[in-house]
Amino acid sequence: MASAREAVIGFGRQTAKGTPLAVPKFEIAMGGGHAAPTRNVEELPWTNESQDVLGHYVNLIGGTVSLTGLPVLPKSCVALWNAALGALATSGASDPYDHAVTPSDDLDWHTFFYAEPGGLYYTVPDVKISTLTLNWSPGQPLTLDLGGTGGEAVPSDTKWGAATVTEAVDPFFTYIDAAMKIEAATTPAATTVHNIASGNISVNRNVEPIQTDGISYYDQVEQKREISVSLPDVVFEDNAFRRTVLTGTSSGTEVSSVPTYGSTLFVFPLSDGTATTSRKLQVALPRLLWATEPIDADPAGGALRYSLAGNASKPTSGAIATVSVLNGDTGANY
Amino acid sequence: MAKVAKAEPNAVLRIAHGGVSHTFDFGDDGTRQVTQAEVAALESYQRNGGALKVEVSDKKGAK
Repeated sequence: MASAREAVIGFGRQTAKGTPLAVPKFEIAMGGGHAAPTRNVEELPWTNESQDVLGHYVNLIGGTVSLTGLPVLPKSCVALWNAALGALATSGASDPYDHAVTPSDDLDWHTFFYAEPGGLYYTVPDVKISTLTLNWSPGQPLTLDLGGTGGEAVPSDTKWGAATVTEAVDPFFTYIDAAMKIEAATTPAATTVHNIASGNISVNRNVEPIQTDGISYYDQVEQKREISVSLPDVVFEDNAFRRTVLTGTSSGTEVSSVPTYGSTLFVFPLSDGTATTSRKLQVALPRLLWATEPIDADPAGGALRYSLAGNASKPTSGAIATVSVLNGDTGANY
Repeated sequence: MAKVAKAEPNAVLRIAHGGVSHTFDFGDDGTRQVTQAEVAALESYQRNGGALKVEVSDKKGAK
């Protein structure tokens, strides 16, 4: 018997399409999901004086990356954010090094490696990450979900060679003692709040794989960059934020006819209590259009909570999103 | 004309652009000669609000 626990994931940035890595740059523990081959099979679209299906054909062989609950670790998370955003600037003459990830119009090609429970090892080349979601909830480690498409995946019964960095799962970035700053109508975010329970930030690059004359994808094209924050579980303290979202000010009496833009700045610490001056994950969204739902009556009562959702748009200057990671890694592996 | 990019000393910048990964290692003096393709990548980086300040100029004495 084998256990579903017996899995691990690896990945790394390629220099270009068609040049897959032989070994991962990073190997980390994983929550759920897979990186594995896909094969699309279609029915033969003809008839031949028969009501029976005549047969099938394979119209696409590729690879899928669908990973959930990845640990957010000090080194490898930089590479994962870069996979979804596309530009990484590393600065600092010594530890701590500051890795600032911002958007690029193109994304890097990646190779993903997956040890499937049961003993098959897959290499998925030419992957572009289309979706990334950072999740947090009370008292829990942060997690990342990733989605993307790749080229023709290769199965093997032997594991890949040693990764450049096999990153320990502890310490990890956590929601405990995070500094959550949000603003309803100003930027940059400066007000720290403590009433956000769970939430997530999502990056969707809407990558479109394109098949031409081959059996696998010829190319993948990035399209609209959508970045959003979802706070579905905010503990009610007062109406100021929601009222500002609706009216433009905390005491407004008329629903505003123009959008009001706010912002967020979230700083997540490491689980080992390292000061955020030397280790941190920071996500800044400087221009957010917030939306809030009416609070429904509930005869059962309970603590009052409400939801907020923010959609990012391009600010006057700077990036739509900046993810900064402080760690002890010079960045040679990114 | 040859171009030179200048940034913070020892900064390393990686930009996905034009189907390839461009890596700019600015070294101790913070400068690096760049190709036309790399200039395009840097311009795209700046258009997207990149965090690292990079200045691109003509290389002195180059034709």
